[in-house]
Amino acid sequence: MSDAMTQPPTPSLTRQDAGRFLGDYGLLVILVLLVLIFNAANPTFLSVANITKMLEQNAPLFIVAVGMTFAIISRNIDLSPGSMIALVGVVMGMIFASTGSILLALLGGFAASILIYVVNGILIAKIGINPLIVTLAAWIWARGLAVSLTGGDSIVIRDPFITFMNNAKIWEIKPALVLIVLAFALGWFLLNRTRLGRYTYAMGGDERATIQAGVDVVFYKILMFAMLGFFTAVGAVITISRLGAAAPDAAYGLELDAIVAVIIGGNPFQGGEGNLRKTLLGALFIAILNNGLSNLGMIDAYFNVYKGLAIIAALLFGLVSRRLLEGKGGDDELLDPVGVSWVEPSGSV
Amino acid sequence: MANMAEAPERRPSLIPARADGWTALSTLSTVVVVIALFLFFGLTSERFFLPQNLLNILKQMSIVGILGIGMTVVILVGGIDLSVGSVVLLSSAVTALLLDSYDVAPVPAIGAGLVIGALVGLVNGVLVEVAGISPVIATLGTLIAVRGLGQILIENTYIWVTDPLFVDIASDTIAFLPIMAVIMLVLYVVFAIVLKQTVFGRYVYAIGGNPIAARLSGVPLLRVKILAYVLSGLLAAVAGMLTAATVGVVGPNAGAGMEFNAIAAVVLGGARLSGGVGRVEKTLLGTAIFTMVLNYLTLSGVTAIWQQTVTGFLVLGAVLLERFVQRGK
Amino acid sequence: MRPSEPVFMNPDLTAMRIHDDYAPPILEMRGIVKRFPGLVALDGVDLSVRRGEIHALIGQNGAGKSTLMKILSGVYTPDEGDIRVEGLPVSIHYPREALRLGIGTVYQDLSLVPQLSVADNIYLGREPGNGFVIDQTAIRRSTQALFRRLEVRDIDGDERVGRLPLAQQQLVEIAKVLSHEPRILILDEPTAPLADEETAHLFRILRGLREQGIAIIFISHRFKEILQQCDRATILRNGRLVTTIDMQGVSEDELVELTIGERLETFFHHAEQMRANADVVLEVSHLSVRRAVRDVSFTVGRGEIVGITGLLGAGQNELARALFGIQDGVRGTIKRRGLVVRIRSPRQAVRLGIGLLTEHRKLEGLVPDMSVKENISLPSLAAFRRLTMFIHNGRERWAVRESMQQLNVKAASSKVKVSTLSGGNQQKVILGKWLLRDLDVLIFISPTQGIDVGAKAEIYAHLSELANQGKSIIVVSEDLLEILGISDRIFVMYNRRLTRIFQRGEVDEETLLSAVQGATL
Repeated sequence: MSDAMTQPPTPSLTRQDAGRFLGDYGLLVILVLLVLIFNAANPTFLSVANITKMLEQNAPLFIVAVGMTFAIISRNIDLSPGSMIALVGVVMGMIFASTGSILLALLGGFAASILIYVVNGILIAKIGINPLIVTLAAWIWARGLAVSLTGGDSIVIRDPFITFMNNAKIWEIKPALVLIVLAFALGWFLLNRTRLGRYTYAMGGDERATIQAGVDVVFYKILMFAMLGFFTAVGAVITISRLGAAAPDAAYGLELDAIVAVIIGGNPFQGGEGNLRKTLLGALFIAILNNGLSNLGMIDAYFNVYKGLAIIAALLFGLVSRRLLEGKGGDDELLDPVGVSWVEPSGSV
Repeated sequence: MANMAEAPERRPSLIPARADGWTALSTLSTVVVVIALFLFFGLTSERFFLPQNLLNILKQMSIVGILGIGMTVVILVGGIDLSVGSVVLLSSAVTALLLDSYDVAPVPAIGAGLVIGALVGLVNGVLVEVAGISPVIATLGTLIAVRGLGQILIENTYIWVTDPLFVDIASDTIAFLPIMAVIMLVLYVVFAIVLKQTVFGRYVYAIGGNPIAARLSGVPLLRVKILAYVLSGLLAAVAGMLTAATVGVVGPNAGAGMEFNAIAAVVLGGARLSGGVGRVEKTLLGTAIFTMVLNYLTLSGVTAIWQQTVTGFLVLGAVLLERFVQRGK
Repeated sequence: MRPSEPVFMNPDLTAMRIHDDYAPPILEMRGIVKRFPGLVALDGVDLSVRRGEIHALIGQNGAGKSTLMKILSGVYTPDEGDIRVEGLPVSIHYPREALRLGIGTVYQDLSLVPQLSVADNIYLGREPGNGFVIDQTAIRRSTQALFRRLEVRDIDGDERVGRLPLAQQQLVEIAKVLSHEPRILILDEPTAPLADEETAHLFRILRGLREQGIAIIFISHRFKEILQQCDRATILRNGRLVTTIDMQGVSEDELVELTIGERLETFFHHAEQMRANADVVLEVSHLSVRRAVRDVSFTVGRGEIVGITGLLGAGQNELARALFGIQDGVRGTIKRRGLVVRIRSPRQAVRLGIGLLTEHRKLEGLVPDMSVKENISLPSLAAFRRLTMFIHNGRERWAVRESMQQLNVKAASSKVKVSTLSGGNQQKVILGKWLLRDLDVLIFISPTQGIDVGAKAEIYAHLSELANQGKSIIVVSEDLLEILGISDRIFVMYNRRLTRIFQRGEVDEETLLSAVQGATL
């Protein structure tokens, strides 16, 4: 380049390095600290049994978080998985109750879940309704329907399949653990190796440019929601297995945990980038928090405060690392109107 | 002609009169929907038109309605506040505790509750506007944390609110109107004026409509947006007081899920979720639709457990309807 | 779609390079007419481009270059005229059809997804593989092959596009278009954001493509590079074809003359004499903007119109934005009426009496859902307050009406939404906004871009009148006629510096155009 002025503005290397380090390993460090603290309070915390129990208990969270990662990277959001898990569970329970076939129940549940998500996807992608509203509505009505269909009672499911899901294990590995691994593997494959994943990133990055490149954004968005429906159904299967019943109040608040897992891991809420490694870390964080706090015998209330504070702290932490990484805003600043108006006039005449 | 534009940047405009007429029509159509529902419900249920039931509807409207005001303001500036349900708990917990355990007089106790609400709003505003966290995420965080705080305060049990002032608020009337409804209506009038007639209100619409143009016009964005969150928190605390008064007790689940009812009311009122378009008057209409439908279902023997399902579909239906009407235009 | 094949130009094309002038042109546009409401953008324009040439398209702003190219790339459909590609008549309705016909366009605003890698951007929407699973190795291989051919060595195909400097992003965009194997490549002012060396690199690539028989249409305002690099040029003026000439033996002066043509009587309202500018209201010293402006100093007097012009990217826009507090990386001092001030936000600028109007009316000037009245009074609300927070409706309405009458804003009433007004009237609303606030320094960036002729004349008249009332006005524009017509003094920026200052009357269009091109006299 002919002169130094044309160099792009790069923040100093050390600062950038610090930012990248914090962004990549910061949460890991916090996780380790958290584990050490919980382990000090309760020496069995790091036992294999407790770790597998922790993962197993939070399996629906891990699996839903995989789908949520897609939603957030593509600049969408899904507020409905908690309610949907309850509803899909109830659908499975009702089919099982009337047919006695667990296979039919599973098929019906998966079909219902995917169908509802496809309809939501159509409302969002084709009709253009804000995903926040569509999934918020689903959050409300799906839970309501789950309660209404059962009259508020759980439907007990007794079947060898449920027993298998709960009791089968090789060494300490239970089916739920395998499902977590499979979900992340499948998610990774879809995100990194297929058009669906590529366009998930592209839509979140610049939807206009993606359309210009000839991508059928509507189709892929609907496909993505269908996939979310699939993951949610898997979450529902695990949930009913653990309870041995379809409970209309199951998985309450799961959507919050899943969104927070994705964001806290360091995936930006504004989409376009992110990966499942970060989601995995974020989900681990939530799972450890859930398990560790309840091991301490903490009542829900304190639990929520600590959880809320931890979440906000981790968010601010991620923000700091990102600011460090990027340096002060560039040309985007005009589009981020808050930045400048914060400074009040000092040199008025 | 010495100079010609390469291409005009826009197609010829709509005829102004029509565009202006449209807004009026849209408000009108919401009113028509409210009246039509009102008549339909009245004619198909013998109990709907009973004065007691109508007053009941007004009372039921008041809590969601007040939350809806704050939500409207926040949505107008392009944000959202999911923490209001938890603020209902925290503020009423603070007030109930001051009354119950510390024998504080009711007015200062209520004042403390309101201040707490406003503080939570301030925290939300700072998290969103200064720290730059997305409003959905930030207020989800405060939703969790604030509910926890409230539950700690009341030690996860129930605190009775027996102060006569609260009993009066819940049961007294002014010229046939329940006090709660009066409070709600007064707040609606106040905020209708604030949004329409004050500098702050004008700024709210400008920021929601086009933040860049607003900033370039010298509008103090940060202050206005944070104030919007503070107002939302404050109004949520008012709703918290009313909740404590009607239920007569503050429990760990007070206000849970109310944020969604408030959003539903705003959406039913036709506000644009990305900001800049919407009015509190219409949120009141949205609240009316919402409450009347639920009331009618209860009267018709539909059990309470179906109400949530109906609420969800109601929101979806309203948005869809608006979308198609807009396309037809 | 044949995504997994090595993707580049058909090797046969290389052999098909045709030097014969009598061979049929690869592209022929004849009698193209395009009308927009209120103006004829193209009036019977012909364009003929041969295989294996770099063909420049030259003309002042508003001459119709971009419209012509948008017709070719399927963004607009012409009202009259026909297009032939390799002798066959075609009609192009969508950008995709243009691509299928082998016409690739690199626009000024790039269409890349910043978060995706270079290679992924190039093959976005047509990833090789089985239609669902992507063959990433093929993408990488094809990108490498593409870059080898283009002799692009310093771009890593795996790097995120958003991390690349603008010049390299531009190369990626060009590579993306070239991966479609176009026969005709259109480049819309590709060198505007580039430094000299980057421009040289770009031309090396273009010459390589020419060797392979690709026809290149090149829009630029920089005559030097056109003379050096292009084979032929087609010159447009006011939507009409002037001529198509061979670049052999043409001088820069001749190009300037062809571009400007005979002097046209303008509709500018000249002040009879130089306005007094003894009273300095704004003084800028040693102002620099990172990557955009270097060490600029000047003063602006009371009641003076200063025109700032330069080629796209010469720094004039950033300079104007710096004065309004919306530009990053600003150094230097600004004095208002002798006092040093810091301008870090529009709010500060407005309080200091400085207003800005940009060409992005909808994005930066107006709140579309608010009424004309509400838009005009937005910066001045503080003045209509009563009881500290309420808006005094009567006074507001009265003041707005006054301002609308003064500016002759055509609207059914002050209550209609501002988005329903025409471009010219919207611009007047923004002007009214600042007049009501009673600012005394007004900065205009491309004030009449996209506005029809009648409204333009009105806006010029208003500018003149404002200056006569004692307001200081800074107009930034690439439209030389506009600058010549309204300015008391003309500042020319070239390559980020303020290179020339002319007084009214001491410069004609040709001299100004040369100065803009970097002539130092």
